[in-house]
Amino acid sequence: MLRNIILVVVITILSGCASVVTVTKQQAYPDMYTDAPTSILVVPAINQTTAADAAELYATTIAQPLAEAGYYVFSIPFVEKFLEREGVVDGEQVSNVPLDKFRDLFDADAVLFVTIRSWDTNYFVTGGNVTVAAKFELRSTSTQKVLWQYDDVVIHNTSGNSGNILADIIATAISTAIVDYVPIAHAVNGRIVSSMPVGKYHARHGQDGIDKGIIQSKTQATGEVK
Amino acid sequence: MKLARIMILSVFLVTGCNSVKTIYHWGDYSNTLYTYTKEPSTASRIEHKAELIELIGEAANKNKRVPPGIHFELAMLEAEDGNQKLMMAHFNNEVTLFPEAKKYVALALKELGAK
Repeated sequence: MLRNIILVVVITILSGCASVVTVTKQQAYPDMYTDAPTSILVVPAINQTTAADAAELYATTIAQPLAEAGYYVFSIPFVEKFLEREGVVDGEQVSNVPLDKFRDLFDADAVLFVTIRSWDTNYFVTGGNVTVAAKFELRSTSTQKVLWQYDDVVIHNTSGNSGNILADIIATAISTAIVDYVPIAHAVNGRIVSSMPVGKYHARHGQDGIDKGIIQSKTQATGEVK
Repeated sequence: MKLARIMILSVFLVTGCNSVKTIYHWGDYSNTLYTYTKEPSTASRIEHKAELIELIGEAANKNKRVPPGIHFELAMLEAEDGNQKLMMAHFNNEVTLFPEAKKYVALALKELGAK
């Protein structure tokens, strides 16, 4: 009898685990492998949050994970300057620029758009975190197709965890109040970009299609035309 | 039996030491760039420019590549400071390291020339 109960419990737990559908990189982003962009242009983010810093934090920390993923990234501070000169200042205006203009001006194979949906600092006694929700979209400048996209909520823990409750309360308050947001932005970007098929400068270029674990619900449909 | 335990432990140690290998050396780049972007000042500019120069030197020492855009950014700062030769040297380095940068460098030179 007990053995049957255990069996039922185990099956329930396992089927609960199986409810998150994961796919391989090749399955999630086939156009990324056929288009094979080598250079990525990062444009200003659309910031839907009340955190004024969010777009700047993104712009100053996104180059690293993209470059480590094997792509040439056009120096972001100057992309913004050149776009400003053209009267394009924010993420909303950028999305109105035809994609082939980025190819003409910069010779960019793909453009990375990001919408920062939320950036919340949460504080609760002995715990704290920064929760960031962002949607990333990489579009081809030649086909206009969406080559890669990822929509995620990342929770970065700023809690104290010494085991001493008073110390933890203080540590959490300090770390949540004076939190250094650059590492958090790094963590968010890094985690999201890890789903991207790697590019030319990465040792596994063209070989990572078999990599599993891409959560399908975060990727939505690819191959959409703007 | 003891030998088997040592072997198993060794395997764990070796795989545990297998850290993620990065292509590039980044130094403190994100931090100095963030500070310079958020609070542009003579001081933050000096610090960011120094970081770019230091990063390039350190990359050579650590046998890592200089990341995309670093030479480009330094070239633009040198241009602002009136150091034409250094500007060209860094632009050329960017294109040598990354052929994808060619048009971007040409665009930058055009923008600088138009000033």
